[in-house]
Amino acid sequence: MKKRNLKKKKQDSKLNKKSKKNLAFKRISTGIVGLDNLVQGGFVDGSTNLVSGGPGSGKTIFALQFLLKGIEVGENGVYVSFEETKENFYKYMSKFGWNLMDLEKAKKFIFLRYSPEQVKALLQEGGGEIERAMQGIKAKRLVIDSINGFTLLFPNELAGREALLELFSLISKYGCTTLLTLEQEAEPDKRKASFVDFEVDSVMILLNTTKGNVRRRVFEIIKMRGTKFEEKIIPFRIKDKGIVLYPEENVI
Amino acid sequence: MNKFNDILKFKYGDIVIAIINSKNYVGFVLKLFKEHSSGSRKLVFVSATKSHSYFVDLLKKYKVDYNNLCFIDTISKLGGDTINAKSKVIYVNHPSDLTEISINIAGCLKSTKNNFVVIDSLSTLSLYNSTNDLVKFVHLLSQKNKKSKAATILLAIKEELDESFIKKLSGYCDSVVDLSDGKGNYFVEP
Repeated sequence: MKKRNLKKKKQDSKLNKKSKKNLAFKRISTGIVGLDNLVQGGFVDGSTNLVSGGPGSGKTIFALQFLLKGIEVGENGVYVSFEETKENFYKYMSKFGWNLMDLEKAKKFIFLRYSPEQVKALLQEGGGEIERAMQGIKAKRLVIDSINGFTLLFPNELAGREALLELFSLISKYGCTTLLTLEQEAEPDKRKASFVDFEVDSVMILLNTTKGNVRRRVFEIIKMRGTKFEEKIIPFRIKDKGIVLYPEENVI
Repeated sequence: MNKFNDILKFKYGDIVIAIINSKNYVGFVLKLFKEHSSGSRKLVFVSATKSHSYFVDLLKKYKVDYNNLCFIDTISKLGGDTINAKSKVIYVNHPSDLTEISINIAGCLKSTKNNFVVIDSLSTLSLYNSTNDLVKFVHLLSQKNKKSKAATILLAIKEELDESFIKKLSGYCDSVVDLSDGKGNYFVEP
């Protein structure tokens, strides 16, 4: 009798472990030095994430690092830009030692320049160039830089919000992890939440401001669903190889 | 630990304010370089008073080896000096960028243990920073110092000293050593 009970307990314990494992989210590395440890190992696989900040705050570098990390671990990436031409983008990013042309030739990376109107059409018709690109290289990571142009296409917040949900629903079919960028100039404590904030799984801010004679670059996580994250304003720098967070440091 | 540290009565992990007079400043800094810039340890020198090029000339003149030196220069860019891009020096844009100074000290301390950090000087940094910011900086530095087991000296020049400021800082330091009488074996005669 005792033996049977013991066996049952063991089986229950195994089942508990298994179900806990199933409940835990699979994480993927963000590619940002110092960030993964702050967010339980990375973004939730298949999540939609937002990084917002003002001009020159490092959003584009952040987004590309996310894609390049994916490529490093065998997850190909598609970069959709509403602003930059491919030529300029490749040129600027080569300063960090990132050879995007080589990655493109190796069918690991695709850069798409899209007008917000094209995305609007994409929602109406479905599929399109993004879908072809995603399927073409079996991409697991997607960046849309930036989402502002898209949200401005709609007459009011409600219409914009609905369209955004449609876009997310479309993206979810690709089964990828997405990073959106949003241009927003604001101090973290005075920041007005955009409606995009409510629809995404995580919101992060890159702040580029000054205090007296000093330029301050700080990073903050506003929300990250299903994740215990560090609630701290963290200094960061744009170094030779991209963005580096310094979680052990404090902003003075 | 060497004799110099024994005299100053501090050990790795400690943070000490050393008060010196302006006349002995060069002799004291030279002594620090001589005592700590060789061997497996690293000397991390944060300069706000004089530029890196000033110290290089000084060290060459006194034939002091400075290969183990990690130099953080916070003044050359502000002064518009020519920056030597090829040198190993870390240039910080402004002495009021205490976060950047802190990041770079941590970076220098990462690779080796039992390091020696010199902040030159509290007097100069106080020209560019508020007392509260400097107290915060020293407080955070002392926390990190314990973790990294570095020994840190915060130089203060007697003639430029605000006693209430030192009193405020001393709560976050292990000791305050007054060497302003110029006596003892703390100086190299320039």
